[in-house]
Amino acid sequence: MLDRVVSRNKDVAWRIIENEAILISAEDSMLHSLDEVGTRIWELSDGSNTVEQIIDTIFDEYEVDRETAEKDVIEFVTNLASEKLGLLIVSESD
Amino acid sequence: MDSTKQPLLYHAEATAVKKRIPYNVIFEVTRRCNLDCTMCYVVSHDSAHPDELSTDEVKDVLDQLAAAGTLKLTFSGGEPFMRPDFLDLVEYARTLAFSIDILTNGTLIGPQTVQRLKELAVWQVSISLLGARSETHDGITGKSGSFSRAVQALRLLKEAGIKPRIKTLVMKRNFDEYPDIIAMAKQMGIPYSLDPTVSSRNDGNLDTLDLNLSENQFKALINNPSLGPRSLSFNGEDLQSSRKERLEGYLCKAGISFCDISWNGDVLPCMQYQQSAGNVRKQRFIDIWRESPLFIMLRNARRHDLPECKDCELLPLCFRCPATAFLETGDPLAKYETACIQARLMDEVRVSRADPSNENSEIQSNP
Repeated sequence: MLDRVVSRNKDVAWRIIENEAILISAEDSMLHSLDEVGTRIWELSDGSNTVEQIIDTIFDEYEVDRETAEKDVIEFVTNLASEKLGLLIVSESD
Repeated sequence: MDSTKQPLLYHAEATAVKKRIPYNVIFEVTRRCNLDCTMCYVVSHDSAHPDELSTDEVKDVLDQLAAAGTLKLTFSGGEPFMRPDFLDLVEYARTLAFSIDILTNGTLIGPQTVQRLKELAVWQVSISLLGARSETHDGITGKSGSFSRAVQALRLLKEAGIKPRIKTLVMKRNFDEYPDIIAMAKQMGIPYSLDPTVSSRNDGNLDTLDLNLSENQFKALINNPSLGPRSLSFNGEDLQSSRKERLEGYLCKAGISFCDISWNGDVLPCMQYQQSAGNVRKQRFIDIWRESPLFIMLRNARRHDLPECKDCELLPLCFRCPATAFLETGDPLAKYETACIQARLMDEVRVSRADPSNENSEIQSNP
């Protein structure tokens, strides 16, 4: 998981408004809002970062221990990349 | 960290209203149209205009809108598909992650276009349907075959999994058919919305107002118990969202979280409010949005401050619209006949519902 690359589903409409990511799923037209850390992960999910690199950034930028950052990032990415939501795409690095 | 999922309408828009972010923008990318609808407020022409924004200019404006925080983007016209570059513009807009709705007459949407729209993950395509029979629809649009093409487009979109919507302006000429339009929408599994207000034309011509429903027709429509609060819209707002704005006191969303960009780059409060707040060829969009005196005036105006309306007992039932007020009187804050009539009719329906002798008395009042 840690060496996988995370990217946003290009079908999702989204905007960051006042440090809060607002996402509209193309699949079911539902709106999702992300909190501050979730929004930062969404920003980092531009296809250039692995899960591990995202964990490193969250660990650097927020007052959180490494273990918690890893657990939370993996849980968050896994949830948004689930078949049910399909907001993120996790793929093998080139 | 958390992801919360909630109904589409209010959360993001409430933030946008609070922060004055242009969350919802209509972009009229052309005034060209291949139809000639009797009631259309756009004075359109079936030919290009030298002032129409170029492909690069439209893309530049889209960049600026994305930076300003716009999420919901509606492409309109005229007929947007009249632009040869229209699908390129949609594709560019999707790279900027807008949620896209397209307002169209549907006549230029064939299987290949539907496939492209599907690939681009367009959120919704709204098609104007002005009758349940070709004679009525084509009679209003002035073009034979426009009904069958619109219906075909609705079917293709539905089959492709794109969200279509039927939009119907209900007026004298098609009033008898609105129940059949609803039946058709339900049979096709497509959502619909009815708008009972014909506006004056955007060049100030008031000739279209005679097309509006008679008083009895209007009352029958708003008193139809089978219509939900989201089935009827007034000046582009459904009853539910309009009620919320009335409580907050704004005139409407124009200048608060919404605006319109015209085919020539003028930034307008809305499609019908033909007073330019500035032009994107001369100023950055965000500067117009933040600093134009017109938008500042709309942001500061409140319904309870309107000089001619503030003491009116019908104000809570009134769907007055600053654009229509401006078109009908030249003053966006003035009272105007169409709103006064509709508010009075709303009140008559409300009173009749409250009357225990009325067979519809158990129906909850929409407003």
